[in-house]
Amino acid sequence: MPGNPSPLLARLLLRVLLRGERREFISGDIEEEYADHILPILGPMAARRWFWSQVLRSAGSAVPHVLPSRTVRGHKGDGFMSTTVMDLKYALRGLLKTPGFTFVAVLTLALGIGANTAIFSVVQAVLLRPLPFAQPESLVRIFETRPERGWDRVSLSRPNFRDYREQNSTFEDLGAMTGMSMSLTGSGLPERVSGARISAGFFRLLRVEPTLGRTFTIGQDEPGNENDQVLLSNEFWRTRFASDSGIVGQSLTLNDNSYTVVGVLPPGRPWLDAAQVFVPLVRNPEADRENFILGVIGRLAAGASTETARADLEAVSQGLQQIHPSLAEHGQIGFVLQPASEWIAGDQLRRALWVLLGAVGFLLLIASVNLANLLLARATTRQRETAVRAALGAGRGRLIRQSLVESLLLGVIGAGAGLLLARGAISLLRALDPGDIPRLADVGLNAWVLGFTLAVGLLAGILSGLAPAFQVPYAGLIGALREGGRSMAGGRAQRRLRSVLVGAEVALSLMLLVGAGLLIRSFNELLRVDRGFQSENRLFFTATLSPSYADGTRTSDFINQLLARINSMPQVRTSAAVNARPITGPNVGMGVLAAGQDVTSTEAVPWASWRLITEDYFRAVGLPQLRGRTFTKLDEIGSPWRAIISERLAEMLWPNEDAVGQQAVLWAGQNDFPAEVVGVVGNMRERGLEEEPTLAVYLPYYGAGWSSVNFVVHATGDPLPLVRTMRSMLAELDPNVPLSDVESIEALVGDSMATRQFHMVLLMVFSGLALVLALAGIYGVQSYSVARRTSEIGIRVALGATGGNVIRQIAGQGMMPTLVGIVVGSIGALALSRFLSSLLFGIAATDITTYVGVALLVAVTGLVSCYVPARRAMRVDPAEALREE
Amino acid sequence: MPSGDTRLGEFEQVLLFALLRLGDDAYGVTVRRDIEERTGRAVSSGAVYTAMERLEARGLVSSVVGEPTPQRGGKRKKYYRLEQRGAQALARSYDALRQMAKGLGPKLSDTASHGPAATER
Repeated sequence: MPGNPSPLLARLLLRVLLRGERREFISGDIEEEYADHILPILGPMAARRWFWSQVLRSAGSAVPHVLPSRTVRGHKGDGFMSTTVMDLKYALRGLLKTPGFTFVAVLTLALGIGANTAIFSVVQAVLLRPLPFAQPESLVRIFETRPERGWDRVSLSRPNFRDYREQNSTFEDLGAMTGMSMSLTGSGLPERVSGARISAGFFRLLRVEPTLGRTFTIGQDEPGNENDQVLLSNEFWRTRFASDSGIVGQSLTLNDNSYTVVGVLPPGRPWLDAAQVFVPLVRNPEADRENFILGVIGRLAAGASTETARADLEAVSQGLQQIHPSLAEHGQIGFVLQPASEWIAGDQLRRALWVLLGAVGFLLLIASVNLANLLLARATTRQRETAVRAALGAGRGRLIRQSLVESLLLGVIGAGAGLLLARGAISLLRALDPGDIPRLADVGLNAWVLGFTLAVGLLAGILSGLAPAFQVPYAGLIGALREGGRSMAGGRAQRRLRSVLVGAEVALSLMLLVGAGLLIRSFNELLRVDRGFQSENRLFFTATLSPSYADGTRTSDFINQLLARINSMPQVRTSAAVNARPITGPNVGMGVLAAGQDVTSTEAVPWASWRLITEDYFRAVGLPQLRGRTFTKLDEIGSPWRAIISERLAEMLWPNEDAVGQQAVLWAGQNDFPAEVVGVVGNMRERGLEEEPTLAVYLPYYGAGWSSVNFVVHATGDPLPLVRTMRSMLAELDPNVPLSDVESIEALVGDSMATRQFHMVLLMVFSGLALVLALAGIYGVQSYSVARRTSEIGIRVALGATGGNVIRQIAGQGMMPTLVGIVVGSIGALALSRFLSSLLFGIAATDITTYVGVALLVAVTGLVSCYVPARRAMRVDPAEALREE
Repeated sequence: MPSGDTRLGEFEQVLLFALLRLGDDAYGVTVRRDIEERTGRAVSSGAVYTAMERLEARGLVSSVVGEPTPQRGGKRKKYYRLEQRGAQALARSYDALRQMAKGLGPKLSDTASHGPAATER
C-alpha cells in the first residue's frame, strides 16, 4: 500500500465534489476496497484505473437525486455565490457523467483556443511587445521619397543627414547608422563580422543604457576619430567573448586597425542587433549627396508631431535643393516618418499576422458553433431532467444560467487544454522559423498570452452556450415530462437552429479554405516564375578584402587567382565573381540613357541596377547570353566604358534595334559616362522572385576596387562539400581574408520564400482543422436527425420507398445547410479577399479557380458526411422502426 | 417523499437482500462487493451510499457510524442494518415478483433467447 497509493488527483477530485459525511464514507469505502481487495488482485495499473472509475461514477451518480431540493433551497436566498458554486458543481458532475461528450467538447474547444493562443503569442511578441527604448512614441525612422521616380523608401545620404540634423526645428536629435562588413583579425582565423557606423549620439537618442561601459561621447564622430573606439552588440559579446566582464578597455583589430572597446550594448531589437560591432560614423564633408546609405532615426521634440516634423523636413530639403541643384535630379524630395511601433515588423508581416489571427478567430468561431450544436443535442436528451428541475421550482432564468455555467466551464477547461496544445504549437512555430520574423525566439506563454487564452476560453464558452441556453424549453415542459422526453425532443425551431449553425460552420471554413487556397496558388505561381538564373548545384560565398586591396588591380589579381584555383577543381564547372548576389544583395542603381537621347523629365530616365562581374558570371548563374559577347580580362572598368545590359533595358533604350554596338550613357545626370554596349543577356529577378526583373547594367570587375567579393561556383554535383577546399585555397592566397556567408542558390531562393511558405502552411493547417470541424458538425447533425427519424423512414420504406429514395431524400436535406453555407461563405470570402490581396502573388484575390475548387472540396466533404448517416437510414428495418413507435 | 410508501425499486431490492445476507458486517465495501459478485453488475460506492441514504430516510434501514481504520485513510465507515419495515417491504415486493413469475420460467428464458415472435403464436 505505501508503494502504491491511490491516485492523488482522483482523491482531490472526490474532495471537491463531495461534502461532509458523504465525502468521508464514500471515499473511505473506495480507499479501503482499493487497498484491501483491488490492489492485491489487479495490480497497480488496473487498480488505479478502478479507483478513477469509482471516483468518476460516484461523483456523477451521487448527486442528481438530491439536487432538486437543493435548487429550491437556493432560491430561498442562499445568495448568488452559493448558487453559482452549486451551478458549477452541478455542471462539473454533469460533464463527468458523460465523459465521451465532455472529451469531444473539450477537444473541439482546445483546438480553437490552442490555435488562437499560439498565433496570439506570436502577435504579442512581434507586434505588441514594447521596444527596448524609453518613450518610443516620440521616435520615428526617417526616409526620403522621390515620388516622380516611384521610390517610396529612400535612405539618406551623409550630407543630407548632416543638413537635416543641423537645420530642423522639430527634432530633439537625429541619428544615423550604416552597415558594412569588417574583418576581425588578431586571434586565430580571420573572421568576418557585421559592422555598423553610427552617429555618436545614436544610442543616446534611443535612450539605451549600455550593459557595460558607455556609448560614444559627443564629438567621437569628428574627423580623426574614425578608427578609435568600438561598441559591441550584446549577442557578439556573449558568443564571441563569453560575456567577459573585463572586455571594456581591450583592443580589437578590425580591418587592420586597432579599436578600443568602450562599451557593450544591451540585447534587443531593432538597431541594437543591427551589427556585431559599432564604430563612429565620422563627418565627411566630401561625401556624395547621391549615395543613399544611411538609416536615419529621430526623436521628436516635445510638442512636435509627425505632421509638423515632415513639413519641417520638407522646408529644409527645399532650401537644400536651391543650394545643390543635383538634389533635384530625381524630382521633388518627400519624406516618410515611420513610427517606432512599425520598426519591428514591416507592412507585409503585420498584414500576414493579422490575417493569421483573423483565421484562428474564424477557427474559434467554428469550434464554438460545433460545440453549440453538441450542447443543443445534449440539451434535447436532457429535456426530461430539465423539466423535473423546472417542476421543482427552478425558474427559466435559473435554467438558462445553469446552461451557461456549463458551457463557460467547458470554455475554461478547453482553455486549459488549449494551453497545452499551444505550448506544443509554439515550439513547432519556432522550429519552422522562416528566419525573418523578428523576435520569434521570444515567443512564449507569458501573462499576456495566458490572459488572452482565458478570455478566449470564456468567449468561446459564452458563444457556444447562448443558443442552447435560450433553447431551454419552458412552455413545453409539461409535455416533455409526460412523454418521457424522446418524442418531443428537438422541435422544428431547434432543427432549424442547428441547420443554421451548420451552415455558418460551412461558410466560415470555406472562407478560411479560400484564403489558404489563394496562398497556395500564389506560392505555386512563385515557383513557376521565370527567375532568369538557375539554382541547381550552385553556391555563393563572400570574401571580404581589407582596405589594402582598395586599388583595383590588386582586387582583380586576387579574384583572378582565386577563380583560377577554384576552376582547377574537377568538380567545378565554372566560377565567377560579382559585387552583389541576387535577392539578398545591396540595391545599387544608376540612370541609363541611349546616347543622344533627349529626356524631358527625370521619370523618363530608366533606372537600372548595376553589377560588377567577371567573364563567366552569366554561365555560372545560368543567365542566357542573348547577343554580343561577355567580358574578358582585357575589359577593364572605365577604360574604355563597356557594358552588357539586360534584354528589357535593351528594348527600352533601342526598341526594334540591335543594342550591341550602341552607345549608352551610364550614371546619366551624374557622371554621364559614355559606354559601348557589347552584349545583351536575359532578364533576371535580382530583387527577389516576387519583384519584376530588374533593368540591369553589367560592368567588368576587372580594375574595380569593390571589397566585398561574392564568388559563385557552379559544380557538377552538390557544391557544399567543396567549400573546405576553397577555404584553404583562399587561405593560401591571403590568410587574412575571411570566407563567409556560404549559401547555395537553392537556399537563397528558398529563404526568400520561407516567410510566405510559413504563412501558407499555417493557414493550410488552420483551414484543414476548420474543414474537419465542419465535417464533424455536419455529420453530427445528420446522424442525429437520422436517428430521430428512424420511425418515419421505416414508414417510408414500408410504403415502398427504395434505399436510393431514402438516401437521396436524407442526404438532400442534409446538404441544404452545406449548400447555403457555400454560397454565403463564397460571398464572405470575396468581401474579405481584399485583406489578403497584398499577400498574393501572380493571381487575383478573386481567382475563380480557387473559389470553385474550394467550393467543390467543401461540397464533396459535406456530401460524404451526409451520405454516411443516410446509408444508415437506408438500412433501417421497417418492422423494427415501427415497433419502436 | 411520502414516508408511508414502501414500494421498492429493483436496485433497492438488491441492496436490501445484500443487507439481509451480510448482517452485522454490512457497510459500503461489503455491500458493493456482494452485489458485484452476485449480479456481475458494476455499482459505484456513490450509488450505494445515495440509495442507502434514501432507504434510511424512508425508515427501511438504519445506520451506525463505526471507527476509523488505517486502510480507509483514517476515515470512518457507516454500517447499515435492515429494519423491520425494510424487511417487510422486501418480503412484499419479493412475494409479488414470485407470484407473477410463477410457472413462467421456461417461457421467459425462451422469449429472452428467441424474441417475442416465438411466443405470440
